[in-house]
Amino acid sequence: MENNIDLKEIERKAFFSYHKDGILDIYLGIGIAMASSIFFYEYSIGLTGVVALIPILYAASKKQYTIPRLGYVKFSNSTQGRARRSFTLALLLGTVSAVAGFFAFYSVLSSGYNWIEPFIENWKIVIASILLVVFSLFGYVSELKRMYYYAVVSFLVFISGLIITVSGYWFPLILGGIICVNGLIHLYRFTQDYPLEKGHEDE
Amino acid sequence: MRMSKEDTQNRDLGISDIDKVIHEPVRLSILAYLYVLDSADALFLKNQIGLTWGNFSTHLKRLEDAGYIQVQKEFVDRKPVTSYRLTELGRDAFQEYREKLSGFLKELPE
Repeated sequence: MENNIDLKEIERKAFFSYHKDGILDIYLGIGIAMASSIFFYEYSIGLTGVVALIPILYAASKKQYTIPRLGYVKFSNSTQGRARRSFTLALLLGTVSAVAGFFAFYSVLSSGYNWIEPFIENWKIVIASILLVVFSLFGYVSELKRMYYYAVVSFLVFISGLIITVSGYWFPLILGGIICVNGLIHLYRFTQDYPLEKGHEDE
Repeated sequence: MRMSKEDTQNRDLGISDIDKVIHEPVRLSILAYLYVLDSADALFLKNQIGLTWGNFSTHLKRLEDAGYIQVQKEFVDRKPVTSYRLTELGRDAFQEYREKLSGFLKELPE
């Protein structure tokens, strides 16, 4: 037996097992594909309404897939605080980026300011850098290591646009697709690791 | 009552008064998880500790009988959930166990 029981590690293990299901990734991927595509493809603007439903769908999916397999848990205030901070940070950074993008776009259209033109011209580098920072910060606050992987993938996907010539809306769709597929792989592994169990309650 | 040779040795080592309810791997793991969590059901605890059902519920009952954990029955989304939470007594006992064990192990030579 070890000299000291590592309670921090136990808490971390419990917290990460709750996010091993990939559901966060699936909705993150869908959200990126939908929300970002409005910048490039005007007809998809109606999809922003669907993005607003994502937190509700996320909670419903957790109840449907995670809790019956992994079990029911209430985390302590400190752990809940970390989850809340991560979510708030992601929401805040995502909103700030979106608002800044809209503002920059419309300010150029309406008033003819040209200070923003270099940013517009190099939008792939700008978005690649924003996503690199946002995902890295999200990974740092939430301690979910795969967010760092998403930071690198996002950067590479948008930077690859400097070499590959395709329509702009493909980049968020590809990025969202990669994250979503990774989430589905995690979900499959999760269902294998934690199959549904019946009749254990009375044991 | 005459003390056995083993008891005498344990007393000499200062571990004879260690809590036997806690000093068992499964029960110790359950208490450690409930110490850092607010509450959890048996399925979550079983999955975290990596056991089969076996006599898992016997261990939970033992801890409940000792007053270290309490059962809560609640409805989550209109479904009944039976979860476990550490009591104040359980929290204190776990702390004391950690201190005693850690103090004892610290005294051992390298």
